[in-house]
Amino acid sequence: MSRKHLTRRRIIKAGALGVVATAARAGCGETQVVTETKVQEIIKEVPVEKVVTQEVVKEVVVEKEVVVEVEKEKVVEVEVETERVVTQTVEVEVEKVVTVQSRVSRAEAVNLSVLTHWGSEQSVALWHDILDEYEAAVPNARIEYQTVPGSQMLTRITTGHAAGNFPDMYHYYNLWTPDFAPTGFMAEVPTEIKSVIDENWAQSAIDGASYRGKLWGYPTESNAYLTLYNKRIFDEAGVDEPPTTWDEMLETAARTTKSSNGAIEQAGYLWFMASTSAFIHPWISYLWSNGGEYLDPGTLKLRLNEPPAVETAQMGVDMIEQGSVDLAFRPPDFMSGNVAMFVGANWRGGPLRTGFADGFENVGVGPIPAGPSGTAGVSLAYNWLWGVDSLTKNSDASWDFLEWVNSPRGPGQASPQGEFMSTRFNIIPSRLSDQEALAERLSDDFFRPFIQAIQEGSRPQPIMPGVSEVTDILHKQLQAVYFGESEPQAALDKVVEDGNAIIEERMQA
Amino acid sequence: MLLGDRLKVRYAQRHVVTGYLFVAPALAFLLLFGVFPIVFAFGISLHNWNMVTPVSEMRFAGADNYSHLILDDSLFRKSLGNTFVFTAANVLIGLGLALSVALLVNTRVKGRTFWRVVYFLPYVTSSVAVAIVWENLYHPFGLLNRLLSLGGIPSQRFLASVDQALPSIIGVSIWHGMGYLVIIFVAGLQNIPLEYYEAAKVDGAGDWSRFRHITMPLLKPTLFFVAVVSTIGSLQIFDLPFLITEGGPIDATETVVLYLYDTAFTFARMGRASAMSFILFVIILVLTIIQIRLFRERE
Repeated sequence: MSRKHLTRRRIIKAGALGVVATAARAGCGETQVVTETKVQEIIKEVPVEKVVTQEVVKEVVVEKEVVVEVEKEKVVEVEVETERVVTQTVEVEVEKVVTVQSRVSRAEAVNLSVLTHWGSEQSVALWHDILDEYEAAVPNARIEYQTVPGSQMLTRITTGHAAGNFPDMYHYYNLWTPDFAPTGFMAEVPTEIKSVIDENWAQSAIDGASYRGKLWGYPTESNAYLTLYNKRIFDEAGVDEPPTTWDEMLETAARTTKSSNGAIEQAGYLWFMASTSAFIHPWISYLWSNGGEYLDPGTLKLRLNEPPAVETAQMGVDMIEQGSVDLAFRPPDFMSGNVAMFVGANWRGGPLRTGFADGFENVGVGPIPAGPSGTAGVSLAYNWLWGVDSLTKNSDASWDFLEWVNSPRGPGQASPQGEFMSTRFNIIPSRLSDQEALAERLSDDFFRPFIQAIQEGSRPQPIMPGVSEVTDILHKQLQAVYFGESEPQAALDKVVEDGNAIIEERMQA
Repeated sequence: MLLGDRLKVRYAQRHVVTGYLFVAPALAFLLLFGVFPIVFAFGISLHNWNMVTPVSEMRFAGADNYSHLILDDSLFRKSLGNTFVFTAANVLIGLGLALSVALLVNTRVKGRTFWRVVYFLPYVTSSVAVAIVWENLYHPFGLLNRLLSLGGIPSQRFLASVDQALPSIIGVSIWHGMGYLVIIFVAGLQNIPLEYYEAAKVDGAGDWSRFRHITMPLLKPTLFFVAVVSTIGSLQIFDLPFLITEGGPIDATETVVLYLYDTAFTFARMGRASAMSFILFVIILVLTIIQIRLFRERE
């Protein structure tokens, strides 16, 4: 028969076990922390920027007696005794503050997290300022700022989501929406926020943030593509204006090219083939500018092997064959003054402003030249957007924060988001009031054509299931064409065949 | 059983339990971060999964991912071919050059330590920095083309050429990794007793004879280690093609791991990517076994 004695060792063991068990429970999330819940209403003041109203202005005509003396006769003329009422519509800017109750009646505290690809020291510092500002305005909120490089963003989002370790909000590329939206990965934008976005954002930005008729987040940065050219090189070659047609573009490229011993020293045009988006986005702009289409939106079948697309591929080949392009050149060669022109996005304004060898005043912006089967240049626009993870427990608080960060700070002022993008990156904000508030900053010769393109003439990048894979196939097949390994028609037939199979497979999945 | 024996058994049992308790954290770590991911990845390779849908909703695909890769996916076959070419060149040329440099810096040359540091520096340089520097060196206006032009050789496209891109990446890889191999070889060479060389010299053996009959046989364990490690590393090449060429032009530098990465994280096909990783695992396993046998046979 064993007898248990209460020894000092047993007491220590029991104590230790108790500590371990408590720690284990805490580690497993079982520990219940009892907190006093204080329900507090968050009142937000949202400034309304502009109110259009009607005013009735009454114009009263004062009765006036005119006495005319004609010799001895006294004639009294009395003007018409009418009271003219003039009704006119006037647009008056009214500074009006509307008090809106937050959708969240928050308990003790809300801890939120955001994930972006803005990870440089300056960007992080600016975002910490923005988050401090929000936390001061909404004392119960605490926001953690997370960032990864853009190239790892998709990996971080998907792996984090799969592992259950995900932030509440993401700033993501609209090309990923077809993967996120149908699976319930991202939350759809609440109705009341959607109506605000519909009224205040450029249509191309809204289209870019939408998929299958639904809006998936706040459109943030808008990037359109236009022709960037070196004015000094154009002047030296006697070219007065940027090309507006493909014929003019090929001629300009030929005139601005300089070669020595068979090697191009100054390229008339730059096709940057190493990067998928930097190559495909301009190519799709040319396709549309030649009257072609990427995709049939009804059937979701690719239209990339139709005659306008084949002509677009052939145009690139012609440019290479006439000796105006060196496929080893990269965008930094434009910066250093060795390339006459290329099609680039507005975000390049930032690096060009500080690093263009010939001085930023020598950077010209022209339209996308129209092809022989097209009528006008069409610019592709792509977007990034702020979205909310569908699994977050802080959905309302997350939308509240996004609403705040995307709303003007005050009448006539920009939103924190717009301010950040324009100051840090020279990127054009999607919100129209931001474009107005930052008009001075965005009104130089470089930005003006891009803003005009975004507001009027751009089209959003086509997005459909499997878009990343299809884009990759298109990129590789066009590489084969431009390196002389394949013919345009054969290469584009292959894109359509493989691409349609991928779209179909993804649709079924 | 005698009382003494019982006490011994009990003592031994207590020690076994204590031993297991000591290794338990390391074992748990190994199971959690080593074994479990491998088993999970194999499970995924038998499914279609995009990482966005919950794990419970993965669709079973059987061996479809494997059969697709082996029979239908021409890009996978091309990436395998590129990887084999890269591995063969990187291992053979890299080892040859590293051994030559190790022999040189192991002699009593002036500034021996300095030269060792010079050769080791590229290895401790980050891949990103290496990629940026070499992109510029290979540029049409870069240093290499300037040097070629001095010799009257026309400008080369290097990274923008379908034929030259992979050899260009191999060149960077050899330059980047050679410092590590040199250090290992130098350590191996310094383990060879000098008396052997002195005795051989007395017997009239020349430099080549001493290298062939003393250095090489005694360096074999080092050579084996370096060959295996270098082969495995080369088959897993990712960073340089990812950073410099993104697999282009026209897939000329697409390697298995780069294709695997794109398949998993750009195209969200986790099942197919996992199947690729297991095919690569089998290839590495087979090649390593062959290398072990080759070295054993020679012993």
